[in-house]
Amino acid sequence: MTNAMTEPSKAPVHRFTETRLAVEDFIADEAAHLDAWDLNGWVTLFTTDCVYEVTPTGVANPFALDPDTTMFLIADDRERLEQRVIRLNKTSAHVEYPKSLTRHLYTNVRILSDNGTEVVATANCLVFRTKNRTTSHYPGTIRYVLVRDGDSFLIRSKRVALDLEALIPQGKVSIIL
Amino acid sequence: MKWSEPYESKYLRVDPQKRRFQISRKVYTDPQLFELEKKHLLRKSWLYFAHVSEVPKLNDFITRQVIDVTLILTRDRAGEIRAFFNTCPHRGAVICREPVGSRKSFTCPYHGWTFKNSGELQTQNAAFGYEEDFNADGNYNLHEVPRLEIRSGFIFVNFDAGAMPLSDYLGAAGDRIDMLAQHSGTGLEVIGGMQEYYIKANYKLMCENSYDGYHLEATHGSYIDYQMSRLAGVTQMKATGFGRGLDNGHACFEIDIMAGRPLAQWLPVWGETVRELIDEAKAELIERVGPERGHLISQVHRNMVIFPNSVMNDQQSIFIRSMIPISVNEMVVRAWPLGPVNEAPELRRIRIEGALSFLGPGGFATPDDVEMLELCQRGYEMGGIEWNDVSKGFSPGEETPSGEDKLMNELQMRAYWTQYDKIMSAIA
Ligand code: FES
Ligand SMILES: [Fe+2]
Repeated sequence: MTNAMTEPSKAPVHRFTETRLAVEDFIADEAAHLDAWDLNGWVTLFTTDCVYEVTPTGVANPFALDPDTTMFLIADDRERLEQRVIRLNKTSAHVEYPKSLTRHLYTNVRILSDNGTEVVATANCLVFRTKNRTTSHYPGTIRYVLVRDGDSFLIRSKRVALDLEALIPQGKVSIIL
Repeated sequence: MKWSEPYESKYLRVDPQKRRFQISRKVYTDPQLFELEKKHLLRKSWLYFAHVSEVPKLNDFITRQVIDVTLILTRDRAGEIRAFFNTCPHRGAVICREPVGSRKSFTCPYHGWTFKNSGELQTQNAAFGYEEDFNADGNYNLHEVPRLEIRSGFIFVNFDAGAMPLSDYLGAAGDRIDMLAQHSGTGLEVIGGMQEYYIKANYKLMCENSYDGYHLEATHGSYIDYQMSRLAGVTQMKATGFGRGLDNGHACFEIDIMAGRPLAQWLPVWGETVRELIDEAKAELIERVGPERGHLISQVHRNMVIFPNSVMNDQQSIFIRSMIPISVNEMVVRAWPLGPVNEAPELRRIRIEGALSFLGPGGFATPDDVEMLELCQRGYEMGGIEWNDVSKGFSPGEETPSGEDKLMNELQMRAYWTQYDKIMSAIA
C-alpha cells in the first residue's frame, strides 16, 4: 500500500509528541468502547458531520479513493453510522448474535498535522474477531481527522484501509474496525 | 419437466400428491460428489466471468479465477476478447501475476517465453535446441478457454468445447440480461470496488439465497427497519411479485416495489435535484425502448440466478455475483456493481450507496445472509437429517423449469434443483 499517508516521514516529528500522547489516549479509549460493545458510547466520540469508512480490499491507493465514485465496504455518514449502531444492538443483526469477541489493537500512532483545532493522525490497526470458534484478523491502517473538544477530541473522519487482497477468510466486516 | 408422479434419485425426492419437494443434503457436504459436480456440471456450464467494460481498451487485461482455474482475459491487439489459461505451456508457471493491467505480450517469469496477447508464442528466449517448426501446430501458444461468448456485454466462458451456444443455454434469462444492458443508452460499466469474500458454505447455498424471497423478513428484519426509516413519504410499500423459472435451471423473482433506485424510483430523502435527474433518466429510457419495456426495466426489481453459479440482480443497483467453489464447504463470492457510462454524479452516488448499504460484506443485509449459509452448512455437517425441503408453493402438475409462482414460494429453488438432478443423474 503506497501513499503519502503511510510513507515514512522525511523529518522527525518530535514536535507532535504531546499531541501524539493525547491521540493515543483517545483512540485507546475508543478501542475500549468497541471491545466492550458499547456502541452507543462509541458514537458519541464522533462529530455530527462525521464519516466512518472502510475502503475496498485489493486496491492500491485506499486513501485517494472517493466513496461517491468507488464502492467502499463501508461509507457511513452520521445518519448511517447511527443506523449501523441501532442495527448492531439488535439480536436480529444475526451476524453479530451472539456478539463476537473483539480485540482492537491501535498502534504506531503518527501525527501528520496539528493546526491547533484539527489533528490528522494515522495508526496501524490489528483487530481480532472471534465467533463460532474461529478467529479472524483485520490488519490495516487508519487515518483519523480529529477535532479538539475541550481536553479531548471528536472524530470527524475515520478511514480504515485493510491490508487484504480480499475478505478471505474474514468474509465480512460486521464489527466496527 | 412436469411433476405429476413421485420421483426419487440420489439428489431429489419428490412426491407431488403430498406436495413435497426435497433435496439431499449430500449435495452440500459430499466431497466426492463435489468432484463429480466440478467435472460434469461446472466445467460444462456457461459461467459468468467478466464484463466487457473491465477490458475497455486494446491490450487491456485482467486475471481472474473461475472454478479452480485462473484465466487471463485480454482485449488483444486486434480488439478481440479472449481468455487464456494462466499457465505456461512450457513447464507450467503462472504467467501473469497482476490482477489488471495493459500489455501487448506476456512473458513467463520462469524461463522467459513470451506470448502475444492474442496467445501466439512469440519467442522462447534462447530458442536454440528446438526444432525449427517446434510450434508449427500451435501447441506452445497460450491455451485458450474452449468457449467464450458475450451477451449484451456480459462475458461467459465454458470449458466444454461441445457446449450449446450461450443464447440457447440462457433461454428466457437471456432477454433479462439484455434488459440490464438497456438500463443505459451509453453502455454499462463496472464501478470500482469489487467485493470478494469467503463463506464457509457450499456455493449452491449462496445461489439459493440470492433469489429466495421467503427469507427476507426473518433474516433481514434489521435491514427492513433501516429501509423503512428511509422510505418516509413513499406510498407504494407493499411488495407484489413472482418467482419464475427461466429454462435450463435459471430462475428469478420479480417484484414491483418502490425501494428507490437511480432509474425511475425517486425517494423523497434524496431531494429535488435527484428527482429531476431520475425523471430525465426515465424519459430517456422510455424514448429508447418504449413504455412497456421501459416499465419492465425501470419498475421491476429482479433477482436472477443463472445456473449454476452466477447471479444478476437488478435492485437498487445492477449487481452481479459469481460464486467460486473452493471446496465442498467453502466458496468465494465476487460481486460487482454496474452503472451507466457517464452517469450523473448524483445518481452514481445513490447507486453506490444503495448497493453498499444492503449488499456486500460491510452492508446491513449480506453479512446476515452469510451467517445463515454458514449455519446451514454446520447443520448439514452435523448429520442426522438427510433431506432439505423446498416444497413451499409446490403442487402436482407444476412445470418447474418455466413455471411461475408467488414471490415468497420456493419455485426458483425447484427450478435449480430439477436442472441439477437432470445433469447429475445422467452421469453413468
Ligand atoms: S515455465 Fe514458462 S517459460 Fe518455462
Ligand atoms: Fe438475503
